[in-house]
Amino acid sequence: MQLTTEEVLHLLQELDVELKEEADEVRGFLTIAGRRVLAVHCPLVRPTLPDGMAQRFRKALKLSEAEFEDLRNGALGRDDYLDLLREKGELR
Amino acid sequence: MPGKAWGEKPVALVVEDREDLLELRLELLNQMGFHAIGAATYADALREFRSTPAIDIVITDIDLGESSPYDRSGLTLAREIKKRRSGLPVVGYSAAFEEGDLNRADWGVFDRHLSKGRSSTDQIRERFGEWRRIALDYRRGWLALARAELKRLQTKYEITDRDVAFFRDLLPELEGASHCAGGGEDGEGVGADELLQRAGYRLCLVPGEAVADGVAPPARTREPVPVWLRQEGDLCVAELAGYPCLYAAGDDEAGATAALLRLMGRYRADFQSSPAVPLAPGLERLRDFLDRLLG
Repeated sequence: MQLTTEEVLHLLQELDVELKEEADEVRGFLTIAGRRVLAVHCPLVRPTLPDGMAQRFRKALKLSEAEFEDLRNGALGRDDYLDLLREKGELR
Repeated sequence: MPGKAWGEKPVALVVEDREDLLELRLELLNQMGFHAIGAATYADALREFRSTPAIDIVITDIDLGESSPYDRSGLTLAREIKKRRSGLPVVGYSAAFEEGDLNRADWGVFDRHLSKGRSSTDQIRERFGEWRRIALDYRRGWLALARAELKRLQTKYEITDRDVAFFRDLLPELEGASHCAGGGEDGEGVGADELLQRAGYRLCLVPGEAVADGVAPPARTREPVPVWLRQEGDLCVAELAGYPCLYAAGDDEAGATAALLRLMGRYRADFQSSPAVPLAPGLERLRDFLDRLLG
């Protein structure tokens, strides 16, 4: 899987992740109703992330490959994403 | 021996101020089954030592030509290394052992020594073989400590098998490894660390007192931190054992572990800067874990 750092930033913004950008990484928390529920980060080591990095980023979002593809192509919005996390028991 | 797997290749830090000799020594050691990295000065050697937790042996000249014709900074380096990691084998490789420039107490700092320029090629190869053995013995001891530390942290923070569960999703080959070894669904019977090592992971300990650079407030490790390292293409990836969701990448081992420490320090600073923000249980555990590891 190929993922650009630009796309990483875009996806995190779409999910409304509370973000901190550094020169070498982006990190943040998925926050729901004022409560931090998930830590997400991504090293900005290359303009296009190697497969391993992209997979780790997907994994940090608790998404399967198919779900992540949905997120990338816009079929999975923030509300759907939160529902998915609830279904998986990641959110109460 | 160049085809040896990582598990059989000790990492040697070679310190020699003469560039031509350093290159020769690195080449020979690599041929003899080491993974050799070089440094030409006391400062460079100490920097490499601090940033490369995987070093299994240090081989140093005595006269690093820095302060005077009677420079002994290699001896100072050996003492400094022994102060920080007393068990790490340090070998003196210098004409100073032949010339009587060192007294017996100085010799005692070194686990082994060899007089430069007085040994035949066969003798040198024989000694390199011996150094390789003590380096691998050291690594085995260090690895056992890392495993014990990982086990302790897993028990303390109830994170048993999280690493395997996380990595298995990323690495289909882990399934194969598990089946080959007759392991169960969770890799039982094989051992988490063995499974991961088959997938190219190496368990390392970042030493206590390692500093996370670029972090405010400053952070340093209180005690050794177990880290999984893996080479992926031209990048080295470091993942916090027990919390593999915290990972970082760099051009080499030193860069990856430094980036991981930085990330840990930054997350800890994030938690500290907003203590009133409620956290999900998983993040509370992460916060406590980072507090425990970083002072």
